[in-house]
Amino acid sequence: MELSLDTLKHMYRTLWTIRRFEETAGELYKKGLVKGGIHASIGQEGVAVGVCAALRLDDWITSTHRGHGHHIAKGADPKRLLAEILGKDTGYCRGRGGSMHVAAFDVGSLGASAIVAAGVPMGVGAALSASMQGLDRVVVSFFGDGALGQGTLHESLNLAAVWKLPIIFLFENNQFAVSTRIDRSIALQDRQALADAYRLANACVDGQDVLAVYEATNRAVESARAGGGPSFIECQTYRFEGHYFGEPQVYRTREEVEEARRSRDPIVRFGSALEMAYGVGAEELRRLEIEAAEAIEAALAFAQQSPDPLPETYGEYVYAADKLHP
Amino acid sequence: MALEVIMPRLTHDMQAGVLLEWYKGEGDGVQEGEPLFAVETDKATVDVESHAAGVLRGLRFEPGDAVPVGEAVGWIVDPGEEMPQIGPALKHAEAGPSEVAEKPGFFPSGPTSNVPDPQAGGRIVASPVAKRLAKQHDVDVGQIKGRGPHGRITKADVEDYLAQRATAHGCSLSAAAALPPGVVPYDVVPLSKLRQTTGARMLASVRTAPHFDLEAEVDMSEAGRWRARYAEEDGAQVSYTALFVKVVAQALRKHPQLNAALLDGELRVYREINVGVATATPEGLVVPVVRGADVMSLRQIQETIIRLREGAGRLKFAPDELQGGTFTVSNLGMYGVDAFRAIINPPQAAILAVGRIVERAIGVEGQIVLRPTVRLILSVDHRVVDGAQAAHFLAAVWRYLENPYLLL
Amino acid sequence: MPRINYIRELTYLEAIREALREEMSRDGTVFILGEDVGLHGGAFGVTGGLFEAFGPQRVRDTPICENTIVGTAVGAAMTGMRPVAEIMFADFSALAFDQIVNQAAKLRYMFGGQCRVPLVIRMPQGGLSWKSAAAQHSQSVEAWYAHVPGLVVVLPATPYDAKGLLKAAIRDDNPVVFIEHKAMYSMKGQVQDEEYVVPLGQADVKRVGRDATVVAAGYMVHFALEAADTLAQDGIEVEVVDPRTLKPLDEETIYASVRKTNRAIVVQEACKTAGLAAEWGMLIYENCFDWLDAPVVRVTGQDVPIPYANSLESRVWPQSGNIVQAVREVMYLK
Repeated sequence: MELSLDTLKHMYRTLWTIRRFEETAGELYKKGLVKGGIHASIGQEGVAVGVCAALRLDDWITSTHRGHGHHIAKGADPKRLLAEILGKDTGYCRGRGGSMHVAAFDVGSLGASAIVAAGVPMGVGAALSASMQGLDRVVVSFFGDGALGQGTLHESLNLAAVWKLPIIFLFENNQFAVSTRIDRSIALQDRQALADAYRLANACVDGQDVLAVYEATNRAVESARAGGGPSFIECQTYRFEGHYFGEPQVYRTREEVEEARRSRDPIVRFGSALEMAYGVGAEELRRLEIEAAEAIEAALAFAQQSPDPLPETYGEYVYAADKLHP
Repeated sequence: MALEVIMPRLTHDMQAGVLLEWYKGEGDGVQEGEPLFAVETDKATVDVESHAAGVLRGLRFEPGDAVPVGEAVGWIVDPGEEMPQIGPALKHAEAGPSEVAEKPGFFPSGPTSNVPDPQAGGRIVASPVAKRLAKQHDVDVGQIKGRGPHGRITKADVEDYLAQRATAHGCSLSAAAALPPGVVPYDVVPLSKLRQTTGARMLASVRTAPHFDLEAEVDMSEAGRWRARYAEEDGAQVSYTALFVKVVAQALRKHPQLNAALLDGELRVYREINVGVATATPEGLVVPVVRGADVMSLRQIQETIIRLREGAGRLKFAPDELQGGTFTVSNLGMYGVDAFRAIINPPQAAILAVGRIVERAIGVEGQIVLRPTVRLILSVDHRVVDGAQAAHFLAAVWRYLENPYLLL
Repeated sequence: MPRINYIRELTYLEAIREALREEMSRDGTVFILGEDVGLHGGAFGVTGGLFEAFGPQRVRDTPICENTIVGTAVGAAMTGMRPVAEIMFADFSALAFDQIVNQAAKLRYMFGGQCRVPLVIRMPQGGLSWKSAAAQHSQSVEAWYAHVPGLVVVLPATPYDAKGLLKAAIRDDNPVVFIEHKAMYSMKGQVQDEEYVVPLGQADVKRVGRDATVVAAGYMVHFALEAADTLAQDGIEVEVVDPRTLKPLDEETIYASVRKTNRAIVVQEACKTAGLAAEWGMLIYENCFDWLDAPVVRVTGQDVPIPYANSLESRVWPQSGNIVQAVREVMYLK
């Protein structure tokens, strides 16, 4: 699928939206205004944007604790997302989920789970659902390198392959599971071999190259929609912040991180690509960046002015109350 | 060498299998792996194969028998070998669902540590319901002997105590202490809760409500005739009390000022007519209420009164049977009383006291005749009702009584 | 107690199967997944015939991956389907604990009501006459799940209740842990021909009495009834209250009974500590203290993993005789 210039510009702006969103969340955290932890995806925006560009609104994604970027790329409203992070009643989850459990069902996100790999079998279930209902929707299940250690991830790859479900297993490899480098914890050095072993179509791309991510995802999506079954895509990326904001990153050097920021920033790369290959001027790029920043400022104002949930509503949504009691 | 052929366990919870069919007979040669017999379990029919070669002997069960799992159904012996001695075949009563082990065993509940004596320090140990029951009946629970563990006083203990007390005439002679001169010997009889309450209310009524009374002597001959006709036609025996309640209720409809109460300085004229009937019980006076007496038929009133009387006998009422009264009728006629003044049941405005119906000489059109008459005395709270209003009401009452057909 | 037209006798297993068949015919979004549920008809035979009737799309055999079986069911439930997942033995549900407890139970709440999880997880538990399955195939797990807000937990005791409650569970929009008892599968009971549903959250008085209240669920209901028959010979009339839905609990029915009888026995097959009997006992104390004539007494299994040898195993389970003893104790009889 060819991407129009408008779409490309929208993608560029979305990269900035995510970047500014995460930075803003980080600032709020440092000011003590966010109670829980923030797991920022700064540096990984390219994966979220590239993948979601290949999806329709009614396709589903499952996300992770590092899921703000996934949600924004899928179309979630930054206002409601930021409100949720601040625990406000206007947040997507009415303040009951917080950063690690955001969800935006109206734009096709089935939610982020804070349990590593827990979203993956749910993605399999959604793909099963689409298949059984005869819908041509596909599911993208995001997971990181840490999830490769979980049994349920392998169980999900197996089950999706056996049942030939329209799901794309999106391996967002940022090299670290908290403090553990992937080469120290995962014996599978060759993840493509893993995918091949489960008979999954697969690809491995540079996650900092938005268009490469898009193309690989698009191929997988078109195949899945046509009944071609599941795929496995590894996007090699890098997270610029700690596992959570404020983490003492004893497991990597400052130089390593700074080098990554300098040479592997997906926004810089995509901006260059737009200039070189699509003739988008520097002015235009700057304008898109500012638009994104303004959107986030508006989101912040909205979130900060929103009310907290009323304490006496703590019991709402435990059950779907309609039919339970006689 | 004789090898047992047994009924095998084919499913997890199988206790027995039904032997459907023998494929081999007594004295037949069998090969290892050959099917010997068919078994029906609750899931399917299965062939049981021989686990040895030899001669099949000593078949113990017929097709249709339920054989317990593990029981020998036959033997495989070497050719020429003798059968081993065996006992009688054990049939299983039913090849149904599994049974539970019989042993009743231990008791896994109760205190797990050493519980100190709860009665230590003079504590009275009684179960919550025992305490409540004792309190209800004004009994000091500590007086009762407890038969439960650690001397715990139980509900049964309290019930037994109450039953004993009821049969022991309630009184006990006081100790043989010498009385000071001039004092008449006495027994202390406890005042029941009910009596205490009634006393307090009557005292309050007399003190706060300025009572005045109106008397009427009413000719009951028509009422009597009417009552008899009612019994004949309707098959229902209706008491005079029911009739008085009905009449009073209708009269109150016409004169609602007497269906009222003065409460907290506020005069409340009630929208419902709930006539209380003063009733004697072993414990004291209660006034159960016929609710909505003005819209009830005579028979309904009668039935309600019977029900309420029964309740009174057992001292058991529903909450709304004792509350919400707007007017009271008190009838001592059955005790031979000619007339009496009743004390108003506070916070009501009035009360009607009914005496006995007896033949009296009255004047009718210049003649002295004997007619069954009743003396009614209406007592009224002058803060609420004036003489004229009360008189009108009483007039309505005796008019209905002397002309019951007006009630229809 | 329900008045039933005594039309058919079904086993508990058949009743469950009938519920599945009826709900699958009624609603195309209902489907079954689990190990050996298809051609094999389920390890206990519960889903027998359903594969033939509804096909492989709607009766799905899975590999052995409990966490992913339930996780897949959760994802499907969130997106428009009504899955009925089978866990072969309740003990194995421990492998799916994350998906049941952290996901299914909590997603609706965590996401502020954006989704529902209309999921049923069926699992057979227990031992008793299903002997010698030992520690990892005989447990009672209801307390594990009753403790989790957001789950509905059901434990039917009769074929009638099993069918009606499973239908209600499938139709309900909440995640339901539907616990069966493997030793009851062959137990027969009356099930009417006419369609019916037993509402969730409603207890059933299985036997009316006036002298003591016995609260029991699942197989323990039958022990309680047995004990009641024994006690009736001595003129003691026991009332048996079967909660049916363990969570949310129909408390009022229990309280009404205890306030009538003044005595309560709470029974569970599960090992004693932190079981539901303790919960019921505490609720009775909180709400019926002034009506009690004796402490609430528990009859439970022993606090040990279930042993293999018969002589040990039979010592571990509660018996109807224990219930008889308990009733006599609270009545201050020898």
